[in-house]
Amino acid sequence: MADSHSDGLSRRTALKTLGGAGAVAVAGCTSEGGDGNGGGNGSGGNGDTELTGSVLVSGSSTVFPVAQAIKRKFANDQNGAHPETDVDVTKDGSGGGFRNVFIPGDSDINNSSRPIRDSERQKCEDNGITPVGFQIAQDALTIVVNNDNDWVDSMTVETIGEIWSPDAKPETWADVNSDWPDEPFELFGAATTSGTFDYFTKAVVGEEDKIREDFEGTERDDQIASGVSSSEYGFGYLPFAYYVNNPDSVKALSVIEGSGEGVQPSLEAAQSGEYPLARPLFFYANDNKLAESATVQEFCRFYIEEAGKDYIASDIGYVPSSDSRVQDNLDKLDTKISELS
Amino acid sequence: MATKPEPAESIRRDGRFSLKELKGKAFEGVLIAATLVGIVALLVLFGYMFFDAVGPQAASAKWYLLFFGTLVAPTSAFALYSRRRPAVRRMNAKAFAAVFGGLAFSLAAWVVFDATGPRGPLLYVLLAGVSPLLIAGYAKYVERSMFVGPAMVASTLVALLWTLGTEVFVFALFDLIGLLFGWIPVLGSLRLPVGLPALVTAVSAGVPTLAVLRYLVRRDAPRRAFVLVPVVAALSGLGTAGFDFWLHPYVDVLAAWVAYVCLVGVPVAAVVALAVRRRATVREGLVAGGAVVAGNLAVGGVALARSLDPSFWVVMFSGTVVPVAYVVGDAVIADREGRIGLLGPFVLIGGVLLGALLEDVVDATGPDTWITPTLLLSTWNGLDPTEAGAYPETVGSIMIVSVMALMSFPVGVGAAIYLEEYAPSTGPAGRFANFTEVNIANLAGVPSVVYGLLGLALFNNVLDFPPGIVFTAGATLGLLILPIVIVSAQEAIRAVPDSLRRGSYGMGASRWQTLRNVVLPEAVPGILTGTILALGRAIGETAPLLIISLAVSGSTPDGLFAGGVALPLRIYASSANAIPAYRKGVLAALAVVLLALMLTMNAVAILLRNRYQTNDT
Repeated sequence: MADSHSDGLSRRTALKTLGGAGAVAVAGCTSEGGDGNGGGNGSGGNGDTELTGSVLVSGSSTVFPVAQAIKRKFANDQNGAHPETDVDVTKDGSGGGFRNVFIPGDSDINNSSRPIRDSERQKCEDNGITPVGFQIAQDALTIVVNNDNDWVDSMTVETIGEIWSPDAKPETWADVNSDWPDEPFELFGAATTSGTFDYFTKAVVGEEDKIREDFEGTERDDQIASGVSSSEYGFGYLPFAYYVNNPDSVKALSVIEGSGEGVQPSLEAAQSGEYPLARPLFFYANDNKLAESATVQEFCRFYIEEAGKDYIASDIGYVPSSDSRVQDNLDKLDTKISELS
Repeated sequence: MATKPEPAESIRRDGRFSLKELKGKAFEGVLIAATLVGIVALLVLFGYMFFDAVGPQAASAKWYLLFFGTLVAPTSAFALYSRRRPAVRRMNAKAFAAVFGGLAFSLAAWVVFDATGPRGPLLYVLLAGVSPLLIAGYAKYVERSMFVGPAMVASTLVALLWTLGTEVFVFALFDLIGLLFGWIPVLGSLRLPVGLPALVTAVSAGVPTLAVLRYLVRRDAPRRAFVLVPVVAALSGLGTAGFDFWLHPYVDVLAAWVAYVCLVGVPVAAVVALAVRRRATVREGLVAGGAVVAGNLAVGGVALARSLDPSFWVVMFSGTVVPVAYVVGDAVIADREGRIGLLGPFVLIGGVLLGALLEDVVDATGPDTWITPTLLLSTWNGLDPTEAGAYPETVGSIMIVSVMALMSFPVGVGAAIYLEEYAPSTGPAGRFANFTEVNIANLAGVPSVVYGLLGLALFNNVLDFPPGIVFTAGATLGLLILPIVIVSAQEAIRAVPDSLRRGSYGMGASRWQTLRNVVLPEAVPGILTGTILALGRAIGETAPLLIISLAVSGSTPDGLFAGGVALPLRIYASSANAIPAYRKGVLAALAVVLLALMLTMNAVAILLRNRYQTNDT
């Protein structure tokens, strides 16, 4: 077993490089497509020649819209067109993407809405992969209640943590604050494969993965929103992008940190650091793929640059990278690439 | 002294009877209610979806009036006219089948070959198709037909395996060896010695060499004949290794459109030639086939002269114009009575076109539809819903369905034929066959998620394929529908009356002859219908595709081993999109596109069934 796995990679590479004969006939590729375009093995040059090959991006559904928009630009953009490349984006959740696709060495890049965990980094290294991480954007995790909720407009991080904590596990709103109605909570949140879940448990409840069990967990933001909007005593959290595109469906709470003022979620507040639940979004590249494929290098570079563009804020609803962050990321990428080669 | 009442009257007066009647009526009412609940719920759902996708409320009364005039009135008038004339109706159905079947065929062929490029598939068709043709020709020449059928099948399989085998099965074999015998020290440490191409060459050279060697030894051949051995080894090794070098250049010099002619035009010409030959003479058949090829070349020439890319037009010519022309020609010559029925599809299409043309002239506001050319023909845009298109996903779904059909049809029908016609019914073997049958029925009910896991384990983990490729998706879904195909094919075979079989046996036919000439022709419509319905069922499967990590967002797959995309995944993803327009309009429009694909497949099933049934009677 172990043997068949350890040479799996080389065999797959062989499968791809064999390209010419069978693959072309079987796959029905054109001959141009078959010559050395074994998924990911692009041309050796550094951007000067036409790039070929494919990039597989897995991971977070929070980062998915960003990756999808950038993938489209990568293929179509007037000034940076790479028509011969093929970028595929899957939606597995941050943890799901790491576990199922990135750590086995299948995907080139994994999006993540939280920093990679030590255990995941360790597993990567066991498989001979060093993940190279880049913070590309920020999200303001938005705490939402039903539109008919008139008893609360702002909440401290501690109170939110208390509501979701498995220790206190308040049954009704009144259990938390006696001024609030004596009605049971209906809690909606992210599924456990989600980086949003990991971030929320760590930042709000206090310990990663620690959360009460009686909530509706889903990878789909629309279900959280519709759950909260259909139950008067609903309570949940969402990526800001979802809230800002559907502002009427639910009501966002101002979040108070310590003894400060309540801050409404907004891109500005997230960027300035005023909003307590601003969280960074990342992507992690597989260093082996970076080393062997110019296409992956170019896509990472493009990803980093595009993450600083305005449409990340205006069309998607995340805080884009600042110019200095873009520069830092590019430097990091270049250093890494020169180390690898 | 009372008179005895009439028996019927006495029964009617009997309270128990009227109660019974009431019970019966009530039961009937419940049944009607059950039917209505199901149908009404579905209608409401589809109505909602349709409204979201098409937005008919936005259209003005003028628009409706316009289309009533150009489309609804003429088609209903035509339908009314043909209703009472069976010949016209029959011809009408035939014309519809030719026009829309042809369109569906040519569009599907075009999008798939456009995605993969025509040369690769052509190469494959050549390899798999030329050898059986040669065998058939040879058999004709020596006037012996006994070996033709098996030899043709075998040669196709050998040719396919030759190419596919070097690619997939050798890897699979090695992986299986590793998996099964990895614990044995020697086998476990087997490594591909000099890399895979060497191994492939060794295997493909080794088998014929061994065969020649064995033959020579058996025949006690003279010593110098053994010179053949290294020659054969070298030739077959070189042949495989150099396959790419000696066949590819010839295919590659073809202009793309000529490759399309060879790939689509020539087979269509062959079908036309055969059809004409069956009704007229060989000579006329050849003329008809030649005319189709010549037409292809003419279309290509005209397109080139107008500096258009001829590829699309060539495919449309072969796939749509030729069958329509065949049906029209046939009707005009042979069917005086019914030929007016040919107009049916053209009244419909003409009505749509005329309406669309006049729409701007009379300034009528059309519906606010999401089913736009953009949606059908462009790629996805996650930032602007009006710019979002699902062309790659549609093509991906068509490719996945094709793989699915190729995987499940031969295996499923084969298994069904064995279980129905050959499997023993008594003894231990019979019990085993029974056990298998029961389990197949159970497998048909296994949830699709489980098949997804199976696909993940088999293709991604054991066979070590790259994640999320078209082949894996198609093969996984092929496994999913395999039991359904088997069961429905079994039903179709079982439905063939036993009297037919006995009649055939009574005339001295063997089991194979009975099967070939009596059972299968009767069962084919049922088998095809069942299979295609199963395919239509599986085209919307989402869970298995998620599990084998098919990309949600990707580009049009350019081969079976390229990363795939599929409509259902796109639908699933857009239902969670942050921007509301994606969740309402685009989502509904995508669902309509998926439904249209499925309905097209079902229509093809019905067409095939009708065709076979009319041929048999």
